[in-house]
Amino acid sequence: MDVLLEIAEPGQSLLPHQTGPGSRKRVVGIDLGTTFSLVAAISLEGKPLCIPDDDGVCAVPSVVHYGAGQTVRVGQAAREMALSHPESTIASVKRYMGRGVEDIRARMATIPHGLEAGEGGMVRILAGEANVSPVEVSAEILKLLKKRAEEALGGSLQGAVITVPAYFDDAQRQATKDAARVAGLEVLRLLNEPTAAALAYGLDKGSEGLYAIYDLGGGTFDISLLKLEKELFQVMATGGDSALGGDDLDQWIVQRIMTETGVSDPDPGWIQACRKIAREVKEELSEANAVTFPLPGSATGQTGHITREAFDSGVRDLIWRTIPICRRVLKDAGVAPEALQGVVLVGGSTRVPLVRQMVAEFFGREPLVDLDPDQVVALGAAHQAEALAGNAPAEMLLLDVTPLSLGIETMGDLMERIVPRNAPIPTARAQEFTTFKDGQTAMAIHVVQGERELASQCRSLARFELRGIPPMTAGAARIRVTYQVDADGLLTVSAREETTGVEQSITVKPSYGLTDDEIANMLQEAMQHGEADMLARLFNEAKVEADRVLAAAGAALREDGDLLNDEELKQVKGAMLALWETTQGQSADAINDRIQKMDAQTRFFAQRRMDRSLKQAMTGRKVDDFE
Amino acid sequence: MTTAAQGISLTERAARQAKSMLAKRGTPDGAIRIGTTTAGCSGFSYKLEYADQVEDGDLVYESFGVRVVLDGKSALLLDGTLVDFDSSPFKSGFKFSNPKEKERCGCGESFKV
Amino acid sequence: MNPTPPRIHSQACWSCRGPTPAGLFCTTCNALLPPDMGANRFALFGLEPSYEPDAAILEKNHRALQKQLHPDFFAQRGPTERRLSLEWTTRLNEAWQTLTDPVARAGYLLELLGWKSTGRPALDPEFLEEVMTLREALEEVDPLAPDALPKLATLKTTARGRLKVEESQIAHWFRRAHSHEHPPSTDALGEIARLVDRMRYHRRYLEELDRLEDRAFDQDA
Repeated sequence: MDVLLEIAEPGQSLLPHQTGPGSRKRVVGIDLGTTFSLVAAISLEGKPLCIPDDDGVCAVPSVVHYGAGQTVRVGQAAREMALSHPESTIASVKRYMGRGVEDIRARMATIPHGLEAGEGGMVRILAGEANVSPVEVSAEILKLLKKRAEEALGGSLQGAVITVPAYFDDAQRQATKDAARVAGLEVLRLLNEPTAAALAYGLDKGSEGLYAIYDLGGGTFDISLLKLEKELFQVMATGGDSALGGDDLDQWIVQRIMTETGVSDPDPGWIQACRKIAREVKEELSEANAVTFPLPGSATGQTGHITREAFDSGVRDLIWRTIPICRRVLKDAGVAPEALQGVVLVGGSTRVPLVRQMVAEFFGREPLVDLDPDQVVALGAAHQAEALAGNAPAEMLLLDVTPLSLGIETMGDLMERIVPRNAPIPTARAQEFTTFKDGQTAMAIHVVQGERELASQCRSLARFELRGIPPMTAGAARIRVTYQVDADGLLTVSAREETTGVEQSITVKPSYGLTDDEIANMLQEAMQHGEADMLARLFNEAKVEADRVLAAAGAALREDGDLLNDEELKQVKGAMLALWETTQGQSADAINDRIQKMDAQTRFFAQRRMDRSLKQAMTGRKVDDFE
Repeated sequence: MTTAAQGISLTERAARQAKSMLAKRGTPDGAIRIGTTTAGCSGFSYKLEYADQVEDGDLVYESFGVRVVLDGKSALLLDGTLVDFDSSPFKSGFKFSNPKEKERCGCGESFKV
Repeated sequence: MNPTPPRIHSQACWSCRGPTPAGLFCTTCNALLPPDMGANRFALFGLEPSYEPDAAILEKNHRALQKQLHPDFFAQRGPTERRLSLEWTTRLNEAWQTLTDPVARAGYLLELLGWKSTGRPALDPEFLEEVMTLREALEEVDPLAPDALPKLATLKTTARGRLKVEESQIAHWFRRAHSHEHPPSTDALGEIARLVDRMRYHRRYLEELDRLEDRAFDQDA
């Protein structure tokens, strides 16, 4: 990879991996889509742009092919293998993220490869010789995007914002974050796709007011309602279906071809060929009123025929499924359709005329289509990455919400809501529970997510047990369960017995996620330059901390330096200098070591500062003023 | 082509860029200095600075009207290097093509000879 | 010399280890300080506890605080400040939701005033009768019937009307309690608690209507 250099002032050249005070961080926004994925960054001119391949193509098909001898092809190269090697080529892996086998089988009628249950219920895909998790497959796509971005930006990436459907549950979000880690990407934030689109749209058009973002992608549907103001984007409510998208429209065409040709037990090759045709037919029907196409596997050149009318009436029910969801989101936000400033369409599937028509009818207005619906999510993510990296002054405040209620299973399979849907994040809620048997010493906690009243009908996120509760009579123990959702929308659950303080805390993921060990193993297998990246990251983290310590010490000296005699001042400054020197090196350990040493060497100074303030307070005010 | 005292040269594009940067800095008649530092995952990395003075042992070349100062001690490593200027929507800067360079580290920031 | 804010001796800044007054950032080194877990949710926005807080001030201060504290602005800072930013904004969102919701706000004010619920209050006959009537009306609606949506809309209007009345009654009692009684009498607080229970009931009722409406709407396809 070519590194480009700037001309530095004499003696100011930076060491490799070092970043100067004015230098920008290399960060990107990634739209990890069901059918296509994109990576975008802010150009030198300050505009977000998608990064193309050598042929100028931005969209990478989200397809991964596992060939003989562990060769992996990704993107267009993999898509070309789909017809000849269907069983070892994986498409639309996003639909498998954070899902169990049963879940996927129930949802998808025709799958060209084998599936099996992995540890913890997470699905594994049998693709030719490979036996892989959806996380690993997604990581392959991310690795390709990472490589492309690093070549375009001229160096290793320092962070990425990755978008997820707003309606992704915790397991799906966690799986996405894991995939990024396996690909060696530092996730600055998981950003909801409609929010990313709104960011790109709002910043581009300078829009203010209430906007609905209708995002129908290849495999997911999201609707978010946002309040756009000059320096504030606030998500009012969000909803969706994380298993509904353009793939389902293709599937309808596939089913129709199966019925017409009498194929009842298609082989993988036929399915892939048929899907390809279905996708093309769907795209053509956006323009034409009828399409004639070659039937898959037909040697005699037989053709099929579909009219727009037939297609529309066939997929009407599928598209209709989005409308009650739109309605519920408006209701959740307490907003009437007339109060909206506009409806923005995002996602390739919004090109289907029937989608536009139904959206227009429901909202009572023509939707806005003046941004490329395929790129807008990645562009918004690039904006946010730039702000999070500190490259651009942080002017925009983005306030998002939880998409689905989070709760706990209580007696009788009931779902007790702890965090309601559409709660602004970050958020934390606590609920108290008690034991129902005399002498009960453990309590099972089942974390679920969803809107159904029965816990068994919601998504199970994790089960854990709080042990070591001292035996008490039934109802005497007070177990406080706290749900914390961070700015990525990820959940941590902790439980604590209040009378004794027995505590247990977990990050919710075991049901479908990976353990840290599994990720560490994949990282080692998958990365050639992983170690250098890892060391650079550790160094940067240590340096951030050292910079903070030095700045704090400098501020303390300015404020209270008069408390030190010359000898002591020299000692403090010496400790600071020693720490600063380690930040000019390459070792994280050396920095962390020095931070600890400096802490010990300057403790007397901190003590003296506290003593002086106490004395000032004593002389300045009455004793009972500062209890 | 390959002679021992080939030195350093700039492409016309690189020279034009260097000239305009020197002018912007307020030293239109100044020179640029090229050298190496020993650091990074693969051993050496390139250095590119404005040259306010020429030291003993420095070598001075000229390309398209721009003076290029080469650190005496880096001369062996950099002999024959061509410096180009490259710009794309996402990055711009000077690029070193060094015939002596054998291997780059993964991040591209340092090299081996 | 400018007057400097009094530096509190009892608490040292976690970053520069020196004295610092309570607030968002250390006055010496500018590090983000931990939130005061004891502070009440009104004080967080610079407001006095009240059932009718100034919505404009609330909105303005909420936004100003988010602009200083949101995790997005701490992505490049060290682990301690990232954690503190999460804690701050979690509290901020919790307080914001409490203060902007008439039921949660009343409940929280009762808590601040030391009101302890004495278990289930006896249902008064008048409310019991209303509950029965509402139930019956709900059971008469068949979500699959063509007239379900307009019927449900009427019931929703009624329930929303009840909520509005209860909210203004709660506001009335809080105003009275603040102006006449120090501290507010148990009777007044009991009356408020009773109204809060009613609001909760009407809300759940509205949620049920919403579910029926969703079903009716799905049928409309």
